[in-house]
Amino acid sequence: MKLGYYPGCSLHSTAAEYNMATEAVFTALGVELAELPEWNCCGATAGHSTDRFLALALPLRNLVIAEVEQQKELVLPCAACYNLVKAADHYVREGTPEAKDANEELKSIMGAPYNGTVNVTHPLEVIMRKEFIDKVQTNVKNPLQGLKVVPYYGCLLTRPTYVAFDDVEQPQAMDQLMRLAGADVKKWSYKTDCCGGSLTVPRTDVVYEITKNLVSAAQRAGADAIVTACPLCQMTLETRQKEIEKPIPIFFFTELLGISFGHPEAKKWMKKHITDPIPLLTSLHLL
Amino acid sequence: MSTVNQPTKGKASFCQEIEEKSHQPISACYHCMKCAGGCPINFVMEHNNYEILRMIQLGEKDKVYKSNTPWLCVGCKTCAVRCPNGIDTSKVMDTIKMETIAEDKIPASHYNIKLFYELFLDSMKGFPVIGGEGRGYEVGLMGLYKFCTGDFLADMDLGKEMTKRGKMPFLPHNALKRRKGEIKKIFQRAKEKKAP
Repeated sequence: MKLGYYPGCSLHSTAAEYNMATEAVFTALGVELAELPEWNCCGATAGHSTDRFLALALPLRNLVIAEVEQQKELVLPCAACYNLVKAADHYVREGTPEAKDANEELKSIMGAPYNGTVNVTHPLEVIMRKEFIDKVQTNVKNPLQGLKVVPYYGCLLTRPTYVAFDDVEQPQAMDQLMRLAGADVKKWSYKTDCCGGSLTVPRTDVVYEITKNLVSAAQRAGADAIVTACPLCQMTLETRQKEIEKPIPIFFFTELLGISFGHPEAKKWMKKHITDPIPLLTSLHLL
Repeated sequence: MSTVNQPTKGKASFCQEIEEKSHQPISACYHCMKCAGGCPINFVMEHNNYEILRMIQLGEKDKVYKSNTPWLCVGCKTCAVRCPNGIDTSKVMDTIKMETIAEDKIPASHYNIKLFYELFLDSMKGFPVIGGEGRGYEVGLMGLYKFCTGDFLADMDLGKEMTKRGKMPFLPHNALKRRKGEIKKIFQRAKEKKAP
């Protein structure tokens, strides 16, 4: 099986390990992720904060390419890209005047508009489908026994309602998946709180405060690590733990799945982390 | 429709203008404060988000433009899913940001946030010689940001660690081949649309 794949800028740089782990897990589940040719940045917060046209045209361009490439489904592992591309898809399907205008412009620039035929999905949503979740179960050869984690969904994966594939206030997909992989999933109240990612450069002080609150809440819940599904949450939490006495590792959910599958390349992914997760994993004999 | 801030003859009120541009029914807000309760950034905001909505209802344009609140909003949409009246406050904040940029009234204390957004988008157009059209390019973006702010020391250690782990490619991706120039054209159209 082949699915269209849009890694986004982060997975080619600051979240390279997320890209490797996601491709490895999908390969193990029998899915080939076909990278969209000549994709572009979704514009992120910079786009939707400053320019109405760019906020739509930049994500839509990728959907035009997906249609030209005859992709029925496009998988986006970055929650921010997923959010903006899904929202753009939603506006085209709704037929808002702004979306119509952006589509007209794209037609004149690219030779084709976006017709609203692509199913925009996140890998977490895809893996939770029955056909794959059964395969996950049979692939777990190295259960994450003793690994205490809290799942962190952040903001862009579950909000607003038209992008959500899980409950907006109490999502469960990652909880279930991590339990299936053998981890000890702890309950906490911060799973959908925002990490403040877009302020991480211009207002680092604000992000230090948010990270301190989130990581200490995870520790109070009894977790030794946080598991995420977004490269921006992961980077923010991993690199902004300055005020935390004992910083904890921040994993991508596909990394932990890969480890539970006993994937031979898992150590390579772990070496890319800024907050070293290897001591925790080796102490539990998971790596 | 606003009941508080009736339009003066021939000219839409500030509230109507922001409602139209943001597509949000701001006048429906009755200040239940659910948005502020869930806002993860409220601890540094001068005004809670419902207060900004109230100020817009009252037509207090200068006060709204001067507040740090729109610039600190990260667009996490907690307010949007909790509002009983279907108001996505973050879209109102985006609209205020766009209006303050258009009218050149950004609060000086938040100029760096605007600068970061601007450079982020600029870097997508690509650079002379090294190119990189269409994709984020961290080294270029951070270099430009440091050059513009003069803050060369911040995050240098982090940058080093990232580079060591191969997470900050020194040169940008030049991914656009057959479709080269499309991103530049999109940016050109954006510029034309903003021209008065």
